[in-house]
Amino acid sequence: MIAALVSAIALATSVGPGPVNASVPAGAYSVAFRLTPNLASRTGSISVSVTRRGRPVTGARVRVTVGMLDMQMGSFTLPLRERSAGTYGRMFPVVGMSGRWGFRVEVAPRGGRAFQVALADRMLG
Amino acid sequence: MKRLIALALTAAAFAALAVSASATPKHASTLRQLTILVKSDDEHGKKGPDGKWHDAFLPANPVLKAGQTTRITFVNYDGGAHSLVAPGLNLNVQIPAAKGSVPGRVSIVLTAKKAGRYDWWCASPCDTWAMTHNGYMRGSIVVGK
Repeated sequence: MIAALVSAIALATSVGPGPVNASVPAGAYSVAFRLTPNLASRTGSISVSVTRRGRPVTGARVRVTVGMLDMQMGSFTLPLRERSAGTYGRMFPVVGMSGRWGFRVEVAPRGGRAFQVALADRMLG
Repeated sequence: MKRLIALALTAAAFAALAVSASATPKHASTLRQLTILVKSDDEHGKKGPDGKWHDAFLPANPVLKAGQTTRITFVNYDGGAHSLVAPGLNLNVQIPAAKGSVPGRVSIVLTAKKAGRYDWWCASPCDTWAMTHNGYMRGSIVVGK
């Protein structure tokens, strides 16, 4: 698991500060990652849209693990629910501290091989 | 090698947790009480392996039971404010500073629905060593079955 995380963060896409709307390719898949307002002191919204060759991937299991990159702190994992075809999301909680946060998005497509993408976000207070 | 160490530290920051909880239950059938003291290094919060006293939540790794409603009261003896942020439980508790000899107090009512370990941290700038060491200004709320 640690090896997978190391690999994921090493290939992370840099995003932020401010609202995030980034597209990350993963083989035949593409992951559109959105985070608003991307402020440490406010709750927000996180969503992940998964497509495969341009078509929405429905019925996948999607979760996001978040951890501070600047300090040795804790982490948390958010399971996302499918809100519309191929788009998974939920409320994003207060993390309390500005700085660089790592996001590891794990996608397990129904009947397909699981994959993950990583983003390194600069979050303001 | 430095890069490997940095990556390993980064990876250590990601302990995978599956979470689902509610911080404000509508109905509490059995209310358990838990008090967490917050003390600074000056008040001898907790001695670290470095031989120095550090800021600490006491206890820093409280144990709750899934589905059980608990009133958690934070009593802060420090002249500085602290906080407990546990995103996995959707908790963001601001703990007021002590005023003179009167500790700052705040209470929350929590019902964690799903068992697991939920990391928390103090997001208020305080003892930097304590903020980065489990058992001091960060820890886990352990929810058992």
